[in-house]
Amino acid sequence: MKHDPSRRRFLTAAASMLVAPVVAKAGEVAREVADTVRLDDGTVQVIVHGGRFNKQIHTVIDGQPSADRYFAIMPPCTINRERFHQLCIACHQCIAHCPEHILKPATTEYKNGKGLLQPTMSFERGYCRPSCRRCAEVCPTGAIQLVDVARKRADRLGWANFNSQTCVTVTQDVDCDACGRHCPHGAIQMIEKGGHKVPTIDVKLCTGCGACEFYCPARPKAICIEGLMY
Amino acid sequence: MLRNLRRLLAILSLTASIVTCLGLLPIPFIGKLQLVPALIGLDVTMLVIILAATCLFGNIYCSIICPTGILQDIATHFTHNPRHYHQARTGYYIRPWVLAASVGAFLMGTGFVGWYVMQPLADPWSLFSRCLNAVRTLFASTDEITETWQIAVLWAHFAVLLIIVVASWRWGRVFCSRVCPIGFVLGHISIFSLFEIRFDASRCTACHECERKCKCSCMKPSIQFVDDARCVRCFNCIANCKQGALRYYYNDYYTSKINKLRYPTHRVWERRPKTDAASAAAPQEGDDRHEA
Repeated sequence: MKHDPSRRRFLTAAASMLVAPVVAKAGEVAREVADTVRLDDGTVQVIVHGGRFNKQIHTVIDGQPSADRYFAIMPPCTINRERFHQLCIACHQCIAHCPEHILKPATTEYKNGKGLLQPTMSFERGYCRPSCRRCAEVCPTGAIQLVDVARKRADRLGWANFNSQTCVTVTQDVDCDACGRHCPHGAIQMIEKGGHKVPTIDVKLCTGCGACEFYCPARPKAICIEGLMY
Repeated sequence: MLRNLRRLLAILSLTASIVTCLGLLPIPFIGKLQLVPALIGLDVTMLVIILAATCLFGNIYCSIICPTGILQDIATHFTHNPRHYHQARTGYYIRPWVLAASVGAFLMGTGFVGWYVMQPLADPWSLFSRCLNAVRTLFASTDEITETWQIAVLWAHFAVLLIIVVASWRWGRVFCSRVCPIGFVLGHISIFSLFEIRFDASRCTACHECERKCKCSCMKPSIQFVDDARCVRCFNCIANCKQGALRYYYNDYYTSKINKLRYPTHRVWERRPKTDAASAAAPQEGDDRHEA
């Protein structure tokens, strides 16, 4: 087909008209115009206010690097952010009873002053076991829904994203498949890319349970979980 | 007898709360029994149970279910500081404003930071559970929290717990009669409850023993008045009355000469000149009593 600028402009405009309401709705719910884009190499980029920046920023907590997520991870089986913030009374029962010690009270993790003292997840000491429903059992308000084990296993906390810049298979040229071995859903496959066998994440299988991030030996973590937008 | 029953239920409830809040054993039932989780999670069954119990027996929720209240009761038990009715005058009008601010923050929605400040501060169950979780995290030698800012939050919660215990040790149930919006709502429901604590005018000698032993400083023996908006049915007054002048009996809201919805302030009664009983009973200017 011959190159036709007017045709391309028309298609762009049509696509914008289709996408604009979706983006506007998204911005309205999240109170910030942001979108996540999955690139070919598995990294996730967050677009904010039209500008694009790579969100693989890491802070160091107590000598151990922790992922600086753009969207904080909620406890499992919370339907969406609005519902969770409304129903959670910040009684920290889930934090006290989490056998993996991955829930902690949020201070500034949820942006814009939201979710103060409400629980958020971080995977320094473990990951969210797919069959564990302890937090839902102790939640007095039902902010964390007590669903059956099959639904809990399939519940999406976030999604894993991979940063080849810090992965030891690239930086130290070693064979490492810690994330692939420990993924409880088999969502990570090691695939040859650029002379190294690097993890590739199946978005349909990944639930964001954090096993890959917990077991990743690289510092800063080469694979980390990004929370859901809504 | 009533006091011992209350004590038994309260100790059972507080033990369950402490065990589950310290993360020793998950007891979900005790959290679901609380009013604010039932309200926010719209647990209609539990709401009906709590409201029915309040309408029947008065504000028993605060004395046998609420862990913050029971904790303050225990701190109050180990002191000989007498409570006086007039103590409650200070800050008596804070509670409705706390309630209004909490409801307002709820209506403002989750985008407003006030919801995350008002609700954890005003809800006694959330406050108790969070403070005990802070104690667990600080002293149970688990290195769960390592960020400086979050450790500061934990120590702040520990300080709040100490303040509540010490203040109740000094002045009795301070949190409940000054801050707690739950106590305000249930207390004002229990003004109309079926049973309430009543003075027997023929027996009362105004020895003020009930006033000294009252956990909420709600007894006014000089006019034989119980402020039901604060009374939590701890039955200390009945157990300590040597004359047997106090009874847990049918409500006399509609026959009482005292308007129970209005709070007889200390100021009014202090200014009354000490005269014979007849002139003391006569209503004066600024008096909160009215003729029924």
